Amino acid sequence: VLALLCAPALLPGSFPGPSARSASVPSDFRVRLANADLGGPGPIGWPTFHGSENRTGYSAVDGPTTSDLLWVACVSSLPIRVSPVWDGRNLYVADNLGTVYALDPDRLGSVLWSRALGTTPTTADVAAGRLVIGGSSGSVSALSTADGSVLWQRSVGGAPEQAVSVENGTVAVGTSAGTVTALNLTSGALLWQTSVGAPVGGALAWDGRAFYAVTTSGELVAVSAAGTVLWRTAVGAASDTAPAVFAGTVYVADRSANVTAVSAATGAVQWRFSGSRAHPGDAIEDTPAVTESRLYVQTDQGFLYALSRATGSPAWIASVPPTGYAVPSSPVATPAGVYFVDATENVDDVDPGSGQLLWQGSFSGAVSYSSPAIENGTLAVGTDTGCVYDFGRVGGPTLWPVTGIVTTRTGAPIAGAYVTAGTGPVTTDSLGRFRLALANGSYDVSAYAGGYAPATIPLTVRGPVSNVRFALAPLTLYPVAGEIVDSRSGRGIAGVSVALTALYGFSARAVTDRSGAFRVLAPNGTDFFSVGAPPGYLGFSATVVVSGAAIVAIRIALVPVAYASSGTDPLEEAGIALPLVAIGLAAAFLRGRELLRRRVAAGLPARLFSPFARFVAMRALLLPAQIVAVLTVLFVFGTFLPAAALHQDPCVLAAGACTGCSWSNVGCVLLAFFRGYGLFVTNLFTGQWGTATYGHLREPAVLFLQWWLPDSLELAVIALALSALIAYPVGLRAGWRPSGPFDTATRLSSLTGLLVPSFLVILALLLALYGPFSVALGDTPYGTLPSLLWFDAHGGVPGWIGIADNTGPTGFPLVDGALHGDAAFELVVLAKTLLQALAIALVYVAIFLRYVRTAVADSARAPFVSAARARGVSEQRLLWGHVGRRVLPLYALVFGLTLPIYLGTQALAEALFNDIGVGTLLLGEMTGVASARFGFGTSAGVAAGNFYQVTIFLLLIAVLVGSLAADVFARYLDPRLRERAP
Amino acid sequence: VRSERASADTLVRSPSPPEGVPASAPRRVPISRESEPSEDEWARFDVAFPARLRARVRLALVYLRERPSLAVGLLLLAGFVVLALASTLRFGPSLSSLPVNPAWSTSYVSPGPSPQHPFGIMRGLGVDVFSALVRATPWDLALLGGILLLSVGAGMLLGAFAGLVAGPSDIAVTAAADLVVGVPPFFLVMVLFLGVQPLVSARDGLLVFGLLFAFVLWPYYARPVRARAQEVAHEPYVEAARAAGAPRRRLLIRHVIPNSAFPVLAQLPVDVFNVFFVLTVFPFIACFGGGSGRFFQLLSPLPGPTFPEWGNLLANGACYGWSVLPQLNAWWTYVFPGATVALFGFAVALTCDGLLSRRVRERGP
Repeated sequence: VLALLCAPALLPGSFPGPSARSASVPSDFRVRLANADLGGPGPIGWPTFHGSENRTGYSAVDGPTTSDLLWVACVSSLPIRVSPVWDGRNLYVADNLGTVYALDPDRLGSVLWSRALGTTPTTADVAAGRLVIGGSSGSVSALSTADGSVLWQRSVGGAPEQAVSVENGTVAVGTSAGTVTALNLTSGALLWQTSVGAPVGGALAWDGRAFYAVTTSGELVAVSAAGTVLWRTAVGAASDTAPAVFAGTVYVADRSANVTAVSAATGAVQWRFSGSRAHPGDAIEDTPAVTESRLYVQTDQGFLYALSRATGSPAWIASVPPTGYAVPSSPVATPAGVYFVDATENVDDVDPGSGQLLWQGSFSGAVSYSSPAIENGTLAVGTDTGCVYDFGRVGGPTLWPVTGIVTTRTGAPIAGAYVTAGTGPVTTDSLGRFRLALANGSYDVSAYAGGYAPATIPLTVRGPVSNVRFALAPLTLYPVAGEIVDSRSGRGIAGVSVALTALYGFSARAVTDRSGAFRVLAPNGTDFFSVGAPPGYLGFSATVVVSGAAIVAIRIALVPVAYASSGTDPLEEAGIALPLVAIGLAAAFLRGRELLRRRVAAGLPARLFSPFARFVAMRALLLPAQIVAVLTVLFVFGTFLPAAALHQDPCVLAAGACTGCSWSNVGCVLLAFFRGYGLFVTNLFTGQWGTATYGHLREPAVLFLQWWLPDSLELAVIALALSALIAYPVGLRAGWRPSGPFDTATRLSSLTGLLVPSFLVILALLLALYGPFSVALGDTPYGTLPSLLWFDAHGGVPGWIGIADNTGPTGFPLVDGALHGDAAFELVVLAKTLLQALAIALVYVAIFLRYVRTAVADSARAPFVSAARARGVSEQRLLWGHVGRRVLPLYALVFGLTLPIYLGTQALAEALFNDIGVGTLLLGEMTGVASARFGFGTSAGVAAGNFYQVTIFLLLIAVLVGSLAADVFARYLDPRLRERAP
Repeated sequence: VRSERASADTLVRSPSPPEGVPASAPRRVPISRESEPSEDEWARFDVAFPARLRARVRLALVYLRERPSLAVGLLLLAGFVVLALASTLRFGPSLSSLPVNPAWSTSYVSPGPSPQHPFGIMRGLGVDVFSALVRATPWDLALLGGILLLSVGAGMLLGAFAGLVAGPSDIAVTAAADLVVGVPPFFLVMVLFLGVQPLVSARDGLLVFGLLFAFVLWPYYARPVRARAQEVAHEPYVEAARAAGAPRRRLLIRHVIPNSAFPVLAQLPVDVFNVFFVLTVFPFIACFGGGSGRFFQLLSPLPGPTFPEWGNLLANGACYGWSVLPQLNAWWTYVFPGATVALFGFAVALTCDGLLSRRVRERGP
């Protein structure tokens, strides 16, 4: 039913086509993961200490701008001193005893897995599905990011500090034994080993060409990817931090509070800043954060320096009150803020330009070595109390302005051209300029203009982009010519306007000359051709397909009005139809009376239709009334009352049909109410359902339904089949011997299932089966599709899975998996769907049995059972054959009665299982409405309405039609009910 | 002695006749043959004053002994009521919000059950689970009692009326009931509440919520009562009363309602489920989806996130305490509130099932 209801809205044309859709969600986490998997210093993931392997600590994505705490996950009783790393999906931290935790930032930092390594960790890197982590006992381990299993472990003969270069598939490890060792990322095999003379102080930096290590003897050493020492340079004092390398320069801070810039090519010192000159005894134990223009570094005495990257001169100095102990945590820079952790147990965001404090967020526990990580716009830090704090707000990533201009080949600006990056297109202004807002990612930006060939520019967005230039080539135009004549006389009609419109706003106009001839120019493709109606004629329109040649002989004969059917006026048409209808009705009435008279004469009851037919008619008549009532409730409670409560302009409801209407003006309010109501209903039935939001996705609601309805339907089919499979035999057995042991057990467990909150039932099932499920299938039971980690381990996400987990081509995951012959996928999806169905069935069957149990008992004691028994029919046959068949209508009735409960249960189960589906969407939309209450009327497509109203309406239609069908079906099955008057 | 025996006999046949019910209107609560007192039991009846009252008490006890589920159910309900009264007396004005310990609310671990905190501690909310449940008892009894009383009263009255008086009023009641029943109670309450919530202050949220819920639930009582009343309306004793000139109001109150009300008992436990479903889902979404106070208030009928209410405690327990990792799974934070809800539901269900005699029970809801 839902599918049918959605069908008109799903027809092509009502939303952007599939090609436009596939690239439209840059913020989707699949994209995030794909970028993070490159492992390189992409600013989207935070795969290692200080953000990337070049250790710049720079994030092109803005961090949080307020002290809002998104979540805190206290995973350990031991300090967390390793910086959190983020692979685009999970956050990985390790406590001081080397227990590694994978946290799910989308689920408030809940722990996905943990793995004890038993050695104090040093630096963690995540690349290519592996988490590489060093332990102070001298070993380097690689864990699978999917489940934390140890893939390899290798001893490197000294406490390691490592770096990972993904292009080479190399893990380079600097050790306290004074060596740099390279291991194969995949296998852990030793590739090479080089001595650097002194213990390596901090993690290595990698710039794509060489590894840079700082030794505790105060030397900076460059080691090539093949393991040869390229150069070594003394940087002053001993250092135990990682160097940062950016744009051909390596930056090192040391314990005498010096910051030294060294050429990456030659090792020559470019400049040196000495912080101890102004503050004697000061030291730096952290790695500077490097941006295009500046370096930011924190000192032990609580100073934060902003240094010019070119010269090393301080741009500003900020300080926090000294507390007696230092925080060797490295600052992080973003375009809008510099984040550092101070000794007063706060994280501070200072303005990169001035050093002014923007906001401060506090921990209940000190942070010592753990540096902040920018994770999808939030800031994650580990504390000495074993917690991970995540500051930030729920919401999408930063959108960067992308501006440019669309011109012709000769440089003339094109106004009104469309520019799109897969999202909704923007149009250019009169100077040909456009402005898009895009999150980080790679896009194909396309420009379209009528009469020009579209152009596409691939664009990687990592910050604001300006000056994107499109120079469009004009299309070859072909003449479309013909004549317009009078259909009676065949003579040409002069002065008729002819318009031809094509894609992207192309249009050409002409007026026929005295002989009725016209000629316009049009590009290749299908064009819409319309002829204005001259006085006394009807208009005409058609499509014209131009394909590389002129069309010269179009002859259009216009029909004079006098000869045309007068079908333009609906009232007139009705005027013709009404007498016909009246005649038909009268004839039907007479015929009916005649039939009735014959029935009476034959001694039959005086009625024309069977009770069953009358019942169906009555029941069907109730449906429109129910729908109208539901619509009214939805509009009044979902739209009208909130608007009244918030004193919004009532005209908002009517989508601007009036202006400046106050609530005391009853007439105006009534007008707005009815206009708004009409609009609401019209939009609801024409599929204009606005947009819906789920996580970072904001898409047309129709699209969401198209994606997710099949998931919900599939789950419903399986869950209902499972419920029937349990409820039918159990109910029958229980009712067969009322008060017998089986009945008592059923009654008690049904009561338990009913009264123990359904929540707890579902959570308990999840709890009981989570472990075995994960072990058997290598994936968590959440969702319907396998998790990204599972896909990672099974050769990546297949191309037929789109954003928002919609599968192609049918949308039903099980069907699509079978169509593509993906057995592993099919197995996981089937197991997950069955688990959810089981959870739903456990709750629903309990309620269902409560309704059918006693009625089955009634049937089991009916006289026909005794009669059959007396005839010697076996008990089994009696139970399954006779009674079993008789209770079927009853089951249908109870199903209709409990359908609302079923839908509620499925919605809850979907939400608890974190599964996509209509239920999740509904709950999400309702919470969205509640939290950002009143965006309606402006962006929502259901004018003056919200998408949750649409979803509820669809569910209600499903319930109403479902219970109607159940009622009718039960009557149909049961001859006694059928004969009863409605 | 003889006359006392005779009166006891009458009482046995009709255990608790409401005052003034004519003898021609039998209560549909027949007792099974086993409940006929034996000779020994007869012998124990005392003839001393006030014999009638004593006999009634004894017979009530016999009645209860025949229906252990009713006895257990009533005992549990009485226990809840006593707990609610004690809690009201003990906590008085501070009953409307839980004492929150900030150390617990920011703590990562929820300390488990101990002698000082028999049901353990719930992190997040930062409350002692046992004392929170005790404080919540009066609120939940009042809320649930109010909702059920209102909806049962309205449903019974309208249903019996519609069944007795066929015609337009029957059609009106049936159509209205069908309209409401068509909508899942969960969604309907949410839609209605989201609509009116901005109009009411947070303090009145619970009251409005209760009224809305009663409005949503009445048809679930009216429909079965109407079906039963249609049959009762044609019973000989009703016909007799009608022939004797009894006004319609008297027919309704004296004959039809008492004899067609029992389907209500089958539906009551299901509605305990429905009410707690909503009461739990609201705060669970709020906690799971964001957890901040503002968010909660926009979504929940409760005045605040720390309002003592069983469903709220259960939701927060599941939200903060539940984990698939055994070392992180603080079961006490959600099992105890869940068990309280379930126990209350059991008390209602046992009482209702006990009140329905076996024959009646087997007619089905």
